[in-house]
Order: sequence, then structure tokens, then C-alpha cells
Amino acid sequence: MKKSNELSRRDLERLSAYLDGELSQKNSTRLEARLKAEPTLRDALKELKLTSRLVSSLPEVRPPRNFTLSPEMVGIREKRSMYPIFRFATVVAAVAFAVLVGADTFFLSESGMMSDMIPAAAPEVMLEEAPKEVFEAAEAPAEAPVEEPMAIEAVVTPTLEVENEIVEEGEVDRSQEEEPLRAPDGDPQEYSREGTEVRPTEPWQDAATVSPEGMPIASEEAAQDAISPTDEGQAPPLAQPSPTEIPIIVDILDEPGLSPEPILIAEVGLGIAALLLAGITIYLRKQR
Amino acid sequence: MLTTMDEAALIKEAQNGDLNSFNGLVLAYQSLVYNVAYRIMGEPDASADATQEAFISAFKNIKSFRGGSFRSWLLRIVTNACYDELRRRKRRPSTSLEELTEFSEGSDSDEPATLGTQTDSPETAAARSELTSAIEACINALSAEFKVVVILVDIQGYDYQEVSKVIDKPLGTVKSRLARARSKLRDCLQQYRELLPASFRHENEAIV
Repeated sequence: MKKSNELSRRDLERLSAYLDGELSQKNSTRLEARLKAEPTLRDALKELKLTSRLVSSLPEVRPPRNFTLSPEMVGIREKRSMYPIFRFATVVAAVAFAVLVGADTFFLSESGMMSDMIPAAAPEVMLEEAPKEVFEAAEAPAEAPVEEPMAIEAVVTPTLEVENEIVEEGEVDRSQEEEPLRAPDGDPQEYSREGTEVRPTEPWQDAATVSPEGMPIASEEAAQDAISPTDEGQAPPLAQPSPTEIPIIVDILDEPGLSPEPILIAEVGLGIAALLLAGITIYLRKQR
Repeated sequence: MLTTMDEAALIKEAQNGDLNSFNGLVLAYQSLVYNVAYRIMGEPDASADATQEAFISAFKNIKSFRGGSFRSWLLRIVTNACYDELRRRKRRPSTSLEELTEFSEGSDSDEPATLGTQTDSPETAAARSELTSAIEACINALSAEFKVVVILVDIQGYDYQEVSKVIDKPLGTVKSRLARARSKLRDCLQQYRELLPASFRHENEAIV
């Protein structure tokens, strides 16, 4: 008689599978017939059953702690740290956008007020601050404009530093202003033509377009307005332009309200940036 | 206990990177995972390490889960984590396998708390603890491949099909490994017959 531990490997597998109900119906029927006839096979089945019961009697153990994961464990710290950065950037962009739009609106309304005030004030400014330039502007189209730079040199001679400063600022302004401003440096013919044809749309622009160099860039109307308080045939006493007054005029040119296009571009750019950043921030927020 | 729908929702959110949702799955499965790891590794610290590694690995690879049984997928990761840990310990004899497999009578200071509300007398509790230690020692003496199969079928009660998925082997391999594992356990337990409960002993004596 075979002992239970001397069973063939195949019989052992059949008994084990039979124990778990994993044997096919056909093989189960065949094995059951053998079990009735073979006590060794029955003994082996009992042993396997006992072993299985002993193993399954092992108690369930309680986990010593929770195994929940922290972001650091799975290396997603970078993702989390991006959220506050984008949130801050969104706030900054939004605030900058609001400030820019507010300032633009404010200066537009200011410039609207200025445009109401300047028609009356402009002649005074021109008379008080740069009378010679204005008179020359009126006379220049008819006369030889090439002489103007010499006149400017005569006017702007107090100090060398002031002259340099004025020339530099004047060049910058000229490059940003209308074409006729180049005329004294370039083609006198063109200057003559342009200088007489340009008609400023806003009266205050006449005052603003008085170049620090005393360029005769004002229109005829402005020049005539400037001349009107004085004797037309006589030039007023040559006034030394104050070095501090000329930059003030330049500053007026730099007012935000006077060049709306770059500001508009900046506003649109900031608005788009704020929206994009807000979108990314919301996305990162959802990812957290 | 998670419903199938809850589990599917948590898996989907975890696949989108939501760690909180994955932690919901961790809480639902950590007891199972730790128990399987404990039976494979045989001691609490290594089991906790393997469990933690398994969950980290599961989160990092959860996008590769294509449906089916999440439990099987997770148990496969756990068993692989245990194999890795056992291999590491084999290379470093300082944390010897003997420590894992040695049957030390009554030395249960490192034993994890067990679940259940049995109110045994001190003698019965001691005898049960000894029997438990004996069975654990015999299981620990098995090779990892045999151990996993017998743990999943006899302790966790899974069918061969699921075990086949977990170990990624055909059904025939599961049958063969289980039969051989049971045979080895039977031989091992012969030396602890005096620890077996009366009913078992009677049954066993009838056999022998």
C-alpha cells in the first residue's frame, strides 16, 4: 500500500485542485471513483485538507500604520509648488492690467481736459517759453530754413551740457514726431513744403510740437496765433530758453495719453497674459 | 468597503494624478496588501517597507492599469515588491533570512497585532500562538514562488484564475505550485503535531 507522501506528483496536483473545486467535472468524477477504491489517495486528500485548514487558520494581522502617500513620496512636490507661483503671477498681471487701464482712462480724460484748456494756453506758452522759435516757425517756410540750426545754436548756448541734453532729447523727439521735423537736418526743400502744409488736428499739439531745439514745426495757424499778440513785423526780444523749460515740453510729449497705441498694445498684452495665467492656475489647482 | 463604482471613480481620478483619490484606494486595500506582504516576508518591518513600496509603485504606474481586477493588479505589484525585498535581503546577509524563517517559540515581541475578538484562556492563547508560529515557520521555509500561491489560495481564499493573474503564470503552474507547497507544508507540520488542536490531531492520527 502506497503511503500518502509517495503519491505521484500528478495525483497530488489532482487532489489539491479537487480540494479547491478547481478540477473539471469529468476529472472530479474520475477522481472520486479512485478515492473510493484507494485508501492512500483518501489519506492524502485528508492530509492536504488539514494542511490547508491550518494555513487558513492564520489570523489576519493589523497594519502597523497607514500607508497613504504624501506628495513627497511620489515626487510630485514640483507640481504643487508651481501653483502658488502661477497664482501670484496671475494676481500681478491682473493688478498691472487694472492699473494700466485705470491710468490710461485717467490720462485720456486728463488729456481731454487739456485739449479744452490748451487752445487758450498754447499761445501764452509759446510766447513765454519759446517766442523766438515760434516766430521763426512762422517765418521759416518763406525764408531759408537752413539757417535755423544756426539760430538754435545761438539760442542754446548757455552751457555745453544743456546744449547736449537739448540736442539729444530733441533728436529723440524728432524721430518720434512727424516727418517735417527732420527737415532742418535734411532736405530744406522738403522741410519748407511740409512745414507749411502740416495742419495739426489739435491746437495743443502746436505747443507740444515746439521742438526743444526751437524747430519751426508749428503750423501757420499756430504761428499766427503766436504772433498775433505782438507786432507782426518785429521779432520779439530774443528770449534765452531756460534749460529747465525745454524738458518740460518734452515731458508733455511723453504723457501716456498722448501716445495711445503702445498703451493699448500693453493693455491687450497684459489682459491676455492675465487670462492665460489664470487658466494655468486653475488647471494646476485642479491637479492638486 | 468600496463599491465597484467608487473604486472605478477613484482609479480614474488617480490616473489623472489625484493623490487623494489614490489614498482612498490605499485605505481600502492597505490591510490586504500588508497581510499578503507579511505572510510573504514573515516579519513586520520588511512587510511595512514592501507595502509602502508597493503603493508608491502602484501610484507611479497606475496609468498602466487597463481595467479588470484592481485587486489582482495591486497584489501583483505587492508580490513583486516582496520578491525584490527578499532578493535585497539575500544579498545582505546581515538581515538574514534565518531571522525571517526561524521559528522562535514564544518570541512574539515583533509580532503585529492580530485582528479578531477571540477570548481564549492564557493557556489556549499560548497554544494558539505556538501553533500560529509553527505554521508561519513552515510557510516561511517555502520558496517565495510557493509561498505566494499558498497565501493567496489558502489564506486569502482566491481562486486559481485570480492567482494566475497575480503571478502572471498559467493555471497549470498555479495548480502545480499549490500542490507542491501544500505537500511541503504537510511534511513540515508533522514536527509540530503536539501543537495541533484535538480535532486536527484526531483527524491527523486517523490519517497516519
